[in-house]
Amino acid sequence: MSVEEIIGWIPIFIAFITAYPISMLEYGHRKFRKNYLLLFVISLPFHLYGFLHGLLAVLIYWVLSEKHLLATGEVAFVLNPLLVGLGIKGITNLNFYNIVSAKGKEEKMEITPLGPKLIMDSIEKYSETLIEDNHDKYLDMQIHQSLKNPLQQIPTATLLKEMPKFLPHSLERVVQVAFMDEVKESIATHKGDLHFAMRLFVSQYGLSRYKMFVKGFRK
Amino acid sequence: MKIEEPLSLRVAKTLVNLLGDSHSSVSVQQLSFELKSSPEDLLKIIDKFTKNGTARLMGSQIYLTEEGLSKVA
Repeated sequence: MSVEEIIGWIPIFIAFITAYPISMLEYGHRKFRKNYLLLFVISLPFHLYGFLHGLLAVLIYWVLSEKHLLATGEVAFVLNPLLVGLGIKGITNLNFYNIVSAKGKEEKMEITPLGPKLIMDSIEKYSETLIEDNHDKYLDMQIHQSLKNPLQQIPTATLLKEMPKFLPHSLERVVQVAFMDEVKESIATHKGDLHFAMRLFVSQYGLSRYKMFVKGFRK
Repeated sequence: MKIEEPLSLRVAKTLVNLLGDSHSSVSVQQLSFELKSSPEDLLKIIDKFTKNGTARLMGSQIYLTEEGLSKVA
C-alpha cells in the first residue's frame, strides 16, 4: 500500500474512530446513567452498538464525499470526517415527520417517527436488552461478593448508620432521607436480605461509591 | 438497570429541581402531572416527608422546609 493510499484512508478512519465512542457515551449516559463507563469493559453488545455507528458514519462520509457535498479546504480531510463522526447521533436521531394514530378505546396517541430514528429506535431496543443483561449480571456479581465478604457479617443497624457518610456531599436532605427510607424499606420487605437495597445504592450513586462503602467494613 | 427508581426518590428529586432555588411551592396536581403518577400515591409520600420534617403540605401546596433543602455536607 502506497503512502497516498494510506493518506486516502485517514478520513475514513477518523469518521469511524470518532463515531465509535461518541455514540456509546451518548447511549450509555442516556439509558444507564450511573455505571455506564463500566460497559466499555464488560459489554460486547455495547461495543457492537458503537461499531455499527462507526460503520454508519463511514458510509455517510463516503456518500457525502462521493457526491462532493462536503466543504473543501486545507483541513477539510480531517474536519469533514470529524464532524460526521461527532454528529452521528444527530444524524441517526433525524426524524422527518411523525405518524400519529389513536390506539384502543382510551384513544391513547401512538407516535411513530419516520426517518433514521425509526430504524435506530428498533436497534436500540434490541441492544438495550443485551447490554442490560451484561450490566445487571456484572453489578449483581459485585454486590453478591461484597455481601459475602463482609457486609452480611455486619449488623444492619451499623450499615444503615454508616451508609449516609458515603452518599454525595451535595445531596439535599430530603433526597438523602428518601433514599435511606427506601433502603430500610427494601431490607424490611426482603426480610433482612441486603441485596436489593445495595442494588439501589449502586444504581443511584455508582459502583465506585459503593466499593468505598464496602471497603470501610473490610479488615 | 435502566433509569428506574422508587417513586419517593423521584418525588424528592423533582421537588428539589422545582423548588430548590426558591421559596415557592408546587401543587399536588402539578407534581402528579410532572411524574405521571396518581395524587393519592404522592400524598402518601408527602405525608412521610412531612413527618420527618423535610417538606410541608398546606392545602394542596407542597413546600420544602429549610431542613429538607439543606445539604448533607
